[in-house]
Amino acid sequence: MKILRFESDLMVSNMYLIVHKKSAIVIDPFRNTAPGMDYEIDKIILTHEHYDHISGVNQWKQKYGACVLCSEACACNIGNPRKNMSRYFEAFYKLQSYAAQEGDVDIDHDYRCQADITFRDRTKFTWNGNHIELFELPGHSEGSIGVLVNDQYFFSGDSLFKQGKTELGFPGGDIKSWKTVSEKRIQSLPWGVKVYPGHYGPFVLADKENDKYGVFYE
Amino acid sequence: MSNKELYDNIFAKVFSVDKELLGEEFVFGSVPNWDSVAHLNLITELEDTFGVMLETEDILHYGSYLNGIEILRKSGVEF
Repeated sequence: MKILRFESDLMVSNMYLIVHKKSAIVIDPFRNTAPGMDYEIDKIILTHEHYDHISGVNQWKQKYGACVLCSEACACNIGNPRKNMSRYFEAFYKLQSYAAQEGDVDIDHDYRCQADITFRDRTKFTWNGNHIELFELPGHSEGSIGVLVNDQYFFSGDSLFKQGKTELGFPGGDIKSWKTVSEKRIQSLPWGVKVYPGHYGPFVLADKENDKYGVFYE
Repeated sequence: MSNKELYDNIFAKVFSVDKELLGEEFVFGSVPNWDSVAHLNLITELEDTFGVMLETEDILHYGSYLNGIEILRKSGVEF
């Protein structure tokens, strides 16, 4: 199994392909479907409902026919431009300082997409011998999840970064749920897990005793 | 509750400030916690409360407490 990372044109968010031989699972697809052309796409997983993480769902579904898997809360919000933030994305993009702005980007202010499989709290499945566990991480958004593969690789969406704290202030964000549910789940991740966040590069969760989430190294 | 009171309540809640601070000097750039995330919260709260859908240009230029009142007036909200 190998993991490929691609940066999108929207807030430099990350799309990932988990590849096993000629098959792949896509996490947070952006609008360019070319990275999937050499693989059979088995599933599309969404870490959360924000536009910069779902902008390519319709293109990938249309081109590869893969089903979309996400939390029930995420599924509710991706069909609503106010909830998935596409309606506000242009204004936010121009005002924000999280990511560099390189010219104008094409934004669909009325973007909607649909999920095919949803879950509450947690679910798991086996894919080509790989154990994949998904669990809710409410806080950054209502529909946020984490994806843990073989207890070794963790796709955190916007819920865990090496750089900076998790942003809990967006509409739909929830500090209480973060504190009571998500923080504990992140703190219980296996030692040494490699984290693939929704923005920026991967890092390793190394020593939990010395830091809130661990001392990180590349 | 009047629309002005509703408006002030939203600003006080979103920016965690006393209503007495709301006035012509309450503008994006001079309010420490008026960042892009707070701006999104402000806009969604205003839309929910007053039942309006602001245009992207209005969202971008909603940069002050007083100018916001004019933008909402343009959308049919009476003050």
